[in-house]
Amino acid sequence: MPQFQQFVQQLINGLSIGAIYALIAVGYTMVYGVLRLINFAHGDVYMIGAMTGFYASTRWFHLQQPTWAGFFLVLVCSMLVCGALGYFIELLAYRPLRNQPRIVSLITAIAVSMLLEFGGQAKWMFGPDPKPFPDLIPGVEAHPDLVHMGQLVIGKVDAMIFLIALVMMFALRYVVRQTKMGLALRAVSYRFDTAALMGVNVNRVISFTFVLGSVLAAVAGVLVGLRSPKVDPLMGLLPGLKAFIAAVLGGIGDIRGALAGGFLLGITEAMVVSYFPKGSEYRDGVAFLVLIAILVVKPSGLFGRAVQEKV
Amino acid sequence: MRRDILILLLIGVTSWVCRAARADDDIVIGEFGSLTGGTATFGTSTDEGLRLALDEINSSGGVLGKAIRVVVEDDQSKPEAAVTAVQKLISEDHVIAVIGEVASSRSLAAAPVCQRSRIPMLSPSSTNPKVTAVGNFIFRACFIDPFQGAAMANFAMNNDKGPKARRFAILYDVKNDYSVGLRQFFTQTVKANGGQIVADESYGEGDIDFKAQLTNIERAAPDAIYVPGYYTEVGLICRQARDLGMSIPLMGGDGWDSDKTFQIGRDAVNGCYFTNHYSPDEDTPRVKDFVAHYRAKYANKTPDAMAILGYDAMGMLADAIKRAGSTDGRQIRDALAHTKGYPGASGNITMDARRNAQKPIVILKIENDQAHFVATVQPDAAGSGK
Amino acid sequence: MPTDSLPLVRSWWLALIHNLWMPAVLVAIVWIGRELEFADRPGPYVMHVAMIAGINIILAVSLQLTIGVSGQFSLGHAGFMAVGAYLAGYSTFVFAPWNFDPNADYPDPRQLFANPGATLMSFVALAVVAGIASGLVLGLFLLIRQARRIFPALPLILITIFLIWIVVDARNAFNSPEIPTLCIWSRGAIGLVHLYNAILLHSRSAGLWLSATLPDAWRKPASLMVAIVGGGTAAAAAALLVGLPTLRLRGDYLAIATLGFAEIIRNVIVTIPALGAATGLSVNVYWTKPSPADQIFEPFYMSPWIFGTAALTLMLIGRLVRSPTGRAIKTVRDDEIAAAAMGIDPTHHRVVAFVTGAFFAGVAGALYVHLDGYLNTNSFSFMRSIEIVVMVTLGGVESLFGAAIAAVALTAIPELLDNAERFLPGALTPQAHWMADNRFVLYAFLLLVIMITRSKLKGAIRKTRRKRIPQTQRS
Repeated sequence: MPQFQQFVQQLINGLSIGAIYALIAVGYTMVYGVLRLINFAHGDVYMIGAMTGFYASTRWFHLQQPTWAGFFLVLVCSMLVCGALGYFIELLAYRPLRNQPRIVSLITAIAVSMLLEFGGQAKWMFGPDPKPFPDLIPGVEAHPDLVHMGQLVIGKVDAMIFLIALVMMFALRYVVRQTKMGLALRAVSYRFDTAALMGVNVNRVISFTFVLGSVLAAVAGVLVGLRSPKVDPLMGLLPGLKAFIAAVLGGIGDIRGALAGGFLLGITEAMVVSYFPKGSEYRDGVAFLVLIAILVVKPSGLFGRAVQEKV
Repeated sequence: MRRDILILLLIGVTSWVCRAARADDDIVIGEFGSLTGGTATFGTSTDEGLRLALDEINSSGGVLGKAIRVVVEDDQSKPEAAVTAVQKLISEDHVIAVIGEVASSRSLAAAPVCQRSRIPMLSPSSTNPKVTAVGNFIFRACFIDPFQGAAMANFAMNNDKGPKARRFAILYDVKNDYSVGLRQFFTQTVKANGGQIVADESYGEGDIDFKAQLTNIERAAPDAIYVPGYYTEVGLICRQARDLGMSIPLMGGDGWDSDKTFQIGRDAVNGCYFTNHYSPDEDTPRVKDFVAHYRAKYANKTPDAMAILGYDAMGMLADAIKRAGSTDGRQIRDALAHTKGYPGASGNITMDARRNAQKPIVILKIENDQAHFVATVQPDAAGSGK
Repeated sequence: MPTDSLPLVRSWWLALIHNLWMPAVLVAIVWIGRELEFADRPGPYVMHVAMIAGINIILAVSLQLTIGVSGQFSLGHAGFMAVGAYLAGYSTFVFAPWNFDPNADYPDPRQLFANPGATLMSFVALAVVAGIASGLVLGLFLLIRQARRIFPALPLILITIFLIWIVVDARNAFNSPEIPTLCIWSRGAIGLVHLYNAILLHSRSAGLWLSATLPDAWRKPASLMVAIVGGGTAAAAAALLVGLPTLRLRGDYLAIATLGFAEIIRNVIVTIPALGAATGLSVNVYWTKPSPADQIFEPFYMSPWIFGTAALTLMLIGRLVRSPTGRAIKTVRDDEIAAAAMGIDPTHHRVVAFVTGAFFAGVAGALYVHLDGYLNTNSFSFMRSIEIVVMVTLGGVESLFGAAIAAVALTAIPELLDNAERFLPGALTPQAHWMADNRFVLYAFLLLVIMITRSKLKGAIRKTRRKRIPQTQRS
């Protein structure tokens, strides 16, 4: 049945987009959990991840042929650069302002985001033109499809994205639940001051959170480069916002929520674009409508608990 | 409260103090374009072609016995900055004519300023019909979208070298006036010729995922897809279409003309067609000359359509100034309006009654990762080629 | 020094004179200057930049009200400016038609702007239609909320049903040549458009009668005035709509929600053909003077309007801030629960601040469209909102005056840098150009540095007063 096939195809598209949103959303949600700060610059860290992937594969290592080794090299490179970037952003821009009112941190976050975006657009940095991200996964150019049944197509790249995202999420789950640092992270996001009293090095934990989130964003950036091979300095703006919306959808502060929200938002987007007449005009508007709907109906999100405001 | 009034007085005094610059004796021509911002390649290409023409004109004696000086303003791809840029060119630099812009939205923003100041404006590559309708001092050196859309539709349906399609799908950029316009004219011609539009999908500038729309298009089983967008998205669209298993040709307009289309699209763009102002491998002496000189000046870079149009615009303007015999705006305007058969590198240019250039359009096909000349469409006697 | 409350004045007309004399004097000076063509000395370019600075003052000051005084971090200011600009522009476009003969030099000026009554009627029609539409939506919303009494999850189910119904309705309407009878939602939407046109048609005579009551010379300014006030009111109405679901959110969410609404507004505008769709709206502007002479343009027509409105805005918002309402707004910002305990309704005061800010943004938009004559949705993007936020922040989030100064500075300095050749010695010109080209990077860097250093200073001063725990719920 072609209708069903189309539905499944859109579902797969949605999962693929959703995986990217999920990876970025996790970063937002973790930082919010520990600092109650929306890190506006997170979308731009994702952009830097994609850019680093581009420069690593074309300028630094001159990878001519796609190989698995090359792919992982580029991925690791990207993760390192973004991890360091996340660490330094926290150290230089957010840590001095930790005791300040919320609005100050918000504006600072926006300033960092602007710095990355406009700095990236400058001629002495990346330049405003989009760059063609190379093929890094072997075997894709010749046979891009993993599954091809009738009109249903599952691309190798899409499957790769989904797989890597899943692996990253399991790794994250392991870190958060089974390691000491993860325990510290959970403690700090629950009660900042009490965790400090219990001997947790709060600064270290926060840095760790930022680095972790940035690493995931870097992975998302490289994966997106493989999927839609056009990377430019402003590519992080909209996906960053949508990932934030996904995090809110799932319940900000909750990692499961970020993942669920990411996939849900991706699928919703794909469905709206395909089933709504003129839907693609409203593709970006959909995400914002979802945000408003969730904030009106259940502000704590799908997985969140309603927080009582104490006087 | 008093301080608030103080600010406004501050503006007043500063404005008063900044005396407008005096006019000097050079022949000054203004150029404004998007040298930075999202569509930076448009502006820089136009500028490169223009400078090539400028060198040639000045080295052969200039116009009216003097050298031409070009003042460039960057509008950062923003319409409001285009207004300020042109205002500055006119009232500060005292230009006698303005060349710009590539994007119709920015031309539309700046045109009223030129019109009311009685300074002729020559747009090298804005294809939206509304631009020249702003006033009688506004001209363009290229064809307009009705002609472009119709030419591609005719080629796709009737020409033997084309896909000979009857069922078309359209994937256009809803936020881009150029794309919307081309879609409209393409659709009109297809329907007038008995063809069918089986799918009509849209995307927004900056999107990177088109699989949803392409899946819908695939379901409708068209013979070809018309994608009248900018190069920034076209490469991706072609690749994603191929990823979904569609091997039908995609077609587009002059917005495809950029290196990026090939870099991003790679071999997915093979077998696709697009309309353009010229083709680098055209076999005419003027094109060959132009390409050779351009390569010599700009480190072996192949000129794109914006470059050749910038070159021709500069040439046309210099020619008009010569024929007018003065630097008066009105006389230059009249001379421009009477341009007949100017030997531009991109073809013989004649200005029609609506101040649009009557010149041929070329259709290119991409094969082996390169664009090749396929056909030329002449403007028909009626004018803009409905 | 600014007093915290307003001076007591005996009667209302004395109060009016006391407050309005300064803006009035300013307007008079600028108007006379325009008539005597003093503006020819700085020239059109400088005047253009000055007028843009004036518009930015209005934007910055109105945003300062929302962000600084009321504490609501709104990133959607450009969206409200867009609403004001497009609606004001549209009314001018429709009722000051561009009678353009392509071969003549410019349209006949006597026929332009002669019908302020019609402009007014168009806004009235818009208000009626918008009122009906919002009334219906509100009614539906209330219905859904009441359904909660029957069954707790019923609202969610109802919303889902409605959404699916609307989607199916729209699909059927879109896919068939004419709208089927059962497509209630689509028919309703089309019906509203018909209603608008019908009201316009029937009010035509009323509009003409209104216009006839004004003396000839007053019609043009009256037309502009209607457009400006109408644009501002429309923006305020949009803010009300936006504010209702979002104003009970905390600062961070509000920022994203307002950003989202601004994007939605832009997305909607770009699809409406009457507003120019993707090409943008080209509007005939008020520079035409009915005169047989060759020079029939007065490019500085808008200058007294813009500077006068800027002065008026500063005055009005300054008054608002120092009035009891202003104090209430500040209290709500500082401690919402304490304010509520004192009987001050936080939501009401937040809405007042938000809507007022949006009104002035709409006014700024209306002035902008009549200055430039061309609108494109790309001019009202998220970046524009951020630019205005930067102006407010650099001027000091608490200071109205600072916001105005920063607006002027951030408008003028890039232009000065661009024209560096005239002011700086030749050696510095490339540096100046580099700075002008990369000014956004410099803004961001400057903003960052200022936020960090100021806060360090402030932190040292406030050490004794504030709690150090970053988990405070207040912003």
